[in-house]
Amino acid sequence: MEARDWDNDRWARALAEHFFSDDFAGEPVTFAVDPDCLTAITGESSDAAIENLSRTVRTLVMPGHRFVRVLQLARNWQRDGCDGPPPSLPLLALTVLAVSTNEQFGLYKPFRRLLDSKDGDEGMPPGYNDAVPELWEQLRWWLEVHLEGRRGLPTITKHDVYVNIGYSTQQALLRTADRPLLYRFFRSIGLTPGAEQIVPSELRRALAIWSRRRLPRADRLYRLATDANLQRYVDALLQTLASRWDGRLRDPTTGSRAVPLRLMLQVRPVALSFVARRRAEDPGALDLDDLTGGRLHLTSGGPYFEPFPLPIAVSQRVLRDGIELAGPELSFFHEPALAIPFAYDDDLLEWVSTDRIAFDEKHHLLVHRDIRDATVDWLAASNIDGRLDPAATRHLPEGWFLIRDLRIGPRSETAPRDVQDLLGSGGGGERVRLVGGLKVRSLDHAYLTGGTPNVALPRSLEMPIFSIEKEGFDPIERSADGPEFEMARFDLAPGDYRVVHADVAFPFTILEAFRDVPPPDVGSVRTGMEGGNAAGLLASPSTHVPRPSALPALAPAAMVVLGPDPGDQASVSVPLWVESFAGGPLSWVSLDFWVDFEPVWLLVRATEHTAASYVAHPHGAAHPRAGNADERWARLVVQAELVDGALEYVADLWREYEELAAEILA
Amino acid sequence: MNTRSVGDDVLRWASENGAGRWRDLSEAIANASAGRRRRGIRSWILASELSDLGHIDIDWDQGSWSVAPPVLALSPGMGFCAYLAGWRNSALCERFDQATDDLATFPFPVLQDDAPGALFVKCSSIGAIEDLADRMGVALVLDPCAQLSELVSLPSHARLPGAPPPPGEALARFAPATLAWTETDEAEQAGLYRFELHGRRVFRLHEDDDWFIVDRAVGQLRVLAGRDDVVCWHPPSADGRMPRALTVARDVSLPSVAARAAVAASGLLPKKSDQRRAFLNVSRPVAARIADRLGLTLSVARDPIQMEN
Repeated sequence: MEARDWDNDRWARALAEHFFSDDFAGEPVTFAVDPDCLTAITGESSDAAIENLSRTVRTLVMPGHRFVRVLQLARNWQRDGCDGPPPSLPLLALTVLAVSTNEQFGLYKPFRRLLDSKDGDEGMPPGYNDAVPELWEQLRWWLEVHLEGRRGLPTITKHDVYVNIGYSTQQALLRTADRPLLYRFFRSIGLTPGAEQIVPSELRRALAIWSRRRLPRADRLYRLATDANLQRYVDALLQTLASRWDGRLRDPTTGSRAVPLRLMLQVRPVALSFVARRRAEDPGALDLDDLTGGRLHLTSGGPYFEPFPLPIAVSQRVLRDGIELAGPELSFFHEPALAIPFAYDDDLLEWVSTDRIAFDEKHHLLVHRDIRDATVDWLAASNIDGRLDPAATRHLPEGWFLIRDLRIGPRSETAPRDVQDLLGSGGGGERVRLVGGLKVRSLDHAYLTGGTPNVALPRSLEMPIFSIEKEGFDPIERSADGPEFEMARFDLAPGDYRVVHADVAFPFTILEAFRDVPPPDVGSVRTGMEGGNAAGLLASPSTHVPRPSALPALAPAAMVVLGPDPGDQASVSVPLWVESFAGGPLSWVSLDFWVDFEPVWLLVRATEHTAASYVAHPHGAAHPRAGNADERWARLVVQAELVDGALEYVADLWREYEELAAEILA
Repeated sequence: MNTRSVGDDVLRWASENGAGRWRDLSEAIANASAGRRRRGIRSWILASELSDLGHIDIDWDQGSWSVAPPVLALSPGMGFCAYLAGWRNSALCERFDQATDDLATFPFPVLQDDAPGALFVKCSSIGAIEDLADRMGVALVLDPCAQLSELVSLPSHARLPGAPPPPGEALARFAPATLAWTETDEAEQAGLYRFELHGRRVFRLHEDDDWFIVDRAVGQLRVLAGRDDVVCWHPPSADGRMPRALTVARDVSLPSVAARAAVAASGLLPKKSDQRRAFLNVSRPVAARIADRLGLTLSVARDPIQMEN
């Protein structure tokens, strides 16, 4: 079939393969049709490909803008079980193409021209609103519900105001080739897939700063973030993409999975090099282009690819501009940054660059000249371990410096922003976000009392005035200075709050407690030795311990307990030492007695003699049992006197004990 | 609220989150320290204290932790003063407050610097404590010190993983005579050595011309085997104002289970006592068992301990 013979079915299949292929499973996708992609699909020139698609749609709906014909086809297709892609794709593609080829992102005028070159009208074609929005909703349903995301997760959303043109405009904003760059941006700000508080206007502000540094490569993203005319579409799209991003990165050129290159720092002598980490499922051999004409062949070499290290000079330019190594199956990149932390790698037994600085662990830190002094001053002022190593400087690219043995204990609110962005798991980059605090992981934006988060401030923020709002209370308004707004200094009571800056509000909750019972993973880690293990105080295997009985605390000094068998004797005393911890005197009515015999007599030493009190059950049969000639037990009995006023049966019993004791001592 | 410590905050956080990676716990400690404006808290020390108190368990090798089941613990010789250990969030503390709001029980907290405070309750009988545990929905553990002491053991020689000789950089040898570390350039002599391996302090045992990977506690106890000056039992004072105690030379580490067993005797972290750590209320038989299982000889003092303020 010649290109000019493309019909609606063929276009639908080709568009589906290009925009919604199996490669995009689980990934947010946009139907961003533009002349370049039509050329890629058809192999024709840009103009010819546009005319090809236009002619196909024209054949179906013209004359008369009979969009209802496509709607009918699409309804039949759904009714009959969705065999193949939706027949609406060519029509929807043409609406997006109209937007993407128009400088002002208008739709109706260029769309009319594509259907009829003589059409001079600028308004909505008749019947458009009856058919096209429904077709967009059907496409969303097909991707999300019918295919369950196996060909990508749709980003199609109905616009609040622009209910007809909003669909096409939003899809036109972000081309397929832009998405990998956008994901790179998400990674740079530490966006946590699926667990992030997304404020679209904050994302847009951060994207503007990030993409400006990457012009002209990121020019479309920059326009997306800065063009006021697009703002009404961009926020919803960014929110959808950010909330649906699963953390995977793609190469902007090849679309293959992309992973960061790592820098390896050897400390004796100081040397920097690039290394490429290899996962078990990665290919055994790779051919990569470095985008400047150079090629690199990598082969499997354990946890890192060979050659090791990579034959790429770590120069000032590479650190400043970054580097891309693109391959069809796997790609690598290094993003520019002003601070690069290194952690010790147990596989490599060397220091390797890492995305985050973990608290209270030793790191080395490579810093650019622009932030060197601020970093050194911060370390000194905060009394944080870490020292600038002047001897290392001559081994590093010009303008870079090494801070050795950095160890950050408590979270610091005053680190230079480029370092602050690396601390812990709070994410980074040029966006307002909540950081620190005692976060309850299973809840969204919930923190424990005493663990109120701070607000990280982007460098570009103007008028850093924040207010903390709670329903029924006057807002607390404060100006922030430094890289964080220290919200933690307010000891917030439990409740729902919002911290507001300009028109952006971050809702969060302060909780005193969330759980009524322990979580299911309680005790999942155990402390053990060869003899067994324990979960907290629960030993496994456990051993028998006698249940303690209570004895009256007759005297503050040590007392002796006697049992019925000679040899049954133990001392007990009032643990007055506990009072020094309790902060005052305690009432000692009874004492715990743990020995495995029945206590019968409690001997209390008085000034003149030792007094014996009966402590067994009243009328109990605690008669002495001969057999064990324990002289110490016997002496204790004979040296004691029964307390005055004892009942008759007690006096009789005491006599039995005295007689047995006398026998033993005789 | 104001009497809470960093450790209390971390325990509440751990109790709400259940389990996780070491870095999460370390970050929570960093955030809690910042929130209370406390500097100089080392995360591994505070985490070890949480473990010694029986609130959490840590697998240092795997880098993971989990909060321990909640228990009410009663140790002998405390006059029916029980304490809470394990999972402890504010909801459990509230239940504790409600359950002890009567004339039969007397609750009292004991602050422990940066570590979580201990929550005690004084009762009049074991029945009252059993009833309290029932009402709170937690298990009752009797004499946890004795039970945990049964688990104490040292890995046999055959189970120690082998290692290459240590590099000569920042090498120090543990001197059994002084219990101090002495910097050295050579590792010919048998004994315990420590050095920095790319930023982390590690320990190697040199025995019979072979090198073994050990942790600090196991290494020290192997080279101190049989010694009678490392652990010592002290009797209580006659007036009951000073408890019986097991003291351990300050510079000698105990394995986690042994430290937890000794702490469980009182529910309190050890106190400083004349260059030694004093684990309060450890009975003499249990002290002897711990010493024996650690390969040490328990010495017995004539006098009670003297605690520093």
